[in-house]
Amino acid sequence: MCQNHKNPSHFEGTEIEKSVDLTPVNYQSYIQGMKFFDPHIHMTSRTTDDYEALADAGIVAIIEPAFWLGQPRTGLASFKDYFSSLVGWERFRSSQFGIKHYCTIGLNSREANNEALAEEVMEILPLYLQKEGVVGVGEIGFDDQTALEEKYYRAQIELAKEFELPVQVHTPHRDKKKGTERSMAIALEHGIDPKMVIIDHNNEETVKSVLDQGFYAAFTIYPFTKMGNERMVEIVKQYGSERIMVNSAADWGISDPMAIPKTAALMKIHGISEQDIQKVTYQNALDAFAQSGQIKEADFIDGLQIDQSQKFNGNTVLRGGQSPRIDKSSIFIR
Amino acid sequence: MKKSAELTKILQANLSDVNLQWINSKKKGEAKDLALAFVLAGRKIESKEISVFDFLQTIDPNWNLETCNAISLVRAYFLVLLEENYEKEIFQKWINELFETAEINESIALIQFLSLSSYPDIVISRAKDAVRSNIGSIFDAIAFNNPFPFNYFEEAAWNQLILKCIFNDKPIHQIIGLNERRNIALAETLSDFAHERWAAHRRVPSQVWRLVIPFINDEIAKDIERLFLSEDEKDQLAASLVCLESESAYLKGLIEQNSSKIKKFEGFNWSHLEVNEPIYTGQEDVSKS
Repeated sequence: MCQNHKNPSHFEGTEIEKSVDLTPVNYQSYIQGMKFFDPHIHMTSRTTDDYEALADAGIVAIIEPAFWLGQPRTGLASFKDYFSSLVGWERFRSSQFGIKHYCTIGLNSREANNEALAEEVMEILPLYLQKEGVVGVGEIGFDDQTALEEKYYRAQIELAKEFELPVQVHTPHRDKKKGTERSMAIALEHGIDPKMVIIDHNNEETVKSVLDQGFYAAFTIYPFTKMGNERMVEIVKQYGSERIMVNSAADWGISDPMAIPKTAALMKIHGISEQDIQKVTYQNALDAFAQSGQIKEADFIDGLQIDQSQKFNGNTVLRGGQSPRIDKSSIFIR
Repeated sequence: MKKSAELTKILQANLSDVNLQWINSKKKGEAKDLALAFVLAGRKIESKEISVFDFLQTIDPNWNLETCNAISLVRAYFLVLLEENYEKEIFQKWINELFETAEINESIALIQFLSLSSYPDIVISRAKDAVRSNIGSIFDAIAFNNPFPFNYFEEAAWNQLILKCIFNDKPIHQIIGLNERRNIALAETLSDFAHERWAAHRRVPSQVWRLVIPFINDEIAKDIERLFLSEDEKDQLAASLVCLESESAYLKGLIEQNSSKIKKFEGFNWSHLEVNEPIYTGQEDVSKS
């Protein structure tokens, strides 16, 4: 997408845009001491620089949903390796920066359209859904809103019920309003408790219905194609903080892993209470996904705790599992 | 007595009734059910340390792991059942599936208890893969307090394990069989490695030099000389210990020249060097943090 293109905003030219001073601010100064939980971020597509920045900005835990990697997969083995990396390599990489890494596992909507492969993927999902630190089925839902997407969305809601896991629902970019309504109607038809379902990528047009029907409403702060954080401030002003959460969905596209801390700072500037900020940038995501029984806040709230099962003779061999920091401002690389 | 029966006794002595009931409900399952129970243990079993030393000694007297996590031990139990109750081919199919889909703690349990298996031939490639892992705790599971490499790795794989351990600044003294499997190829590679490190103004952990003792040659003797000249007392201690334990003619002159240093370290041994040492010269010692 052209970088100069401005996403048409519902608030374009309204009070908020006029009221915000556009001179650069050091947003970090507004969020000192705050802790954040990003319930949707694709770290597989990000660098160690991002991990450092996340840790520095106060992000203590993240959830990485299984998604479309950009390049379509052609065989089961590449799905398997991807799911394994979400519970293995990426979890380790994150731990090196002191960030607790969880994931949701699922067959994404785009690749649900390859029926032969989708059948094979469905076979291996139960194995992954029962693993430690897998906090939901996700991200699943509609993209093109095809019959095959619906088939596998329904099948995966049944898996979520069987394993008592929350569902992280991706709502489509195109025809979003209808796609969101259809996703919710199907979930309710399958008899899943709406508080076990996180409807993601909401906007001003979808939020009311999502909240009214008892679902969690997640908002992705993502330049150009999803929500901007000024609009997010208005949402929280209007709807409060109950069952609302923000995420970055940072991935291989032009996205911003700092979306949550930046949004928190902007909320602070606009006078939203710290309690409400804490709920939409930390607590609600924690509460929603802790319904999986797989999240212990004590594991990360005061710094990442060493996993007891990774000790040898009661000692950790690693130096606390942390990587040494490098001084990025130095011209020397040693 | 079967391994599963021995493990049952340990589990009964240490786990809660709820945990034991769950294990009982799974233990008679099909191979697939046992494999799934291996995975599910992470969600069902309470995490705590259990003493396993006495049991492991009966499997292999070198096996010096003192404790392990209850979840890992329950996983080991299901693997043992899978092996005892099913044909080799079925065991192989499921152990491969478990390795290929494992999250980190599952990988650790699989690797930590490889030596419970009677089929080292089908798991040895997994053990070598663990050495290749860059996930610290998975590497540690094969490297430390684990008799499998000592018993089954050929020399090249063994040397790779030792070198990677040193390269990654890890404590080699926790490797079982470290002295017994010293070899000349490893000693010569270590000497080369030290030269590269020194050229880069980096350190070599002092205890590494215990590995060269039976294989002193002209080149390695020069390395020992350099250690005596080091400002780091740990290097001087390592040089002294090498001199005391070697009968090599190459060291005679060095011993005479450095007799006062060697005397200073009377009563010291390699255990005094069994510490994590940062390899990057001048960097703050992060091993204590």
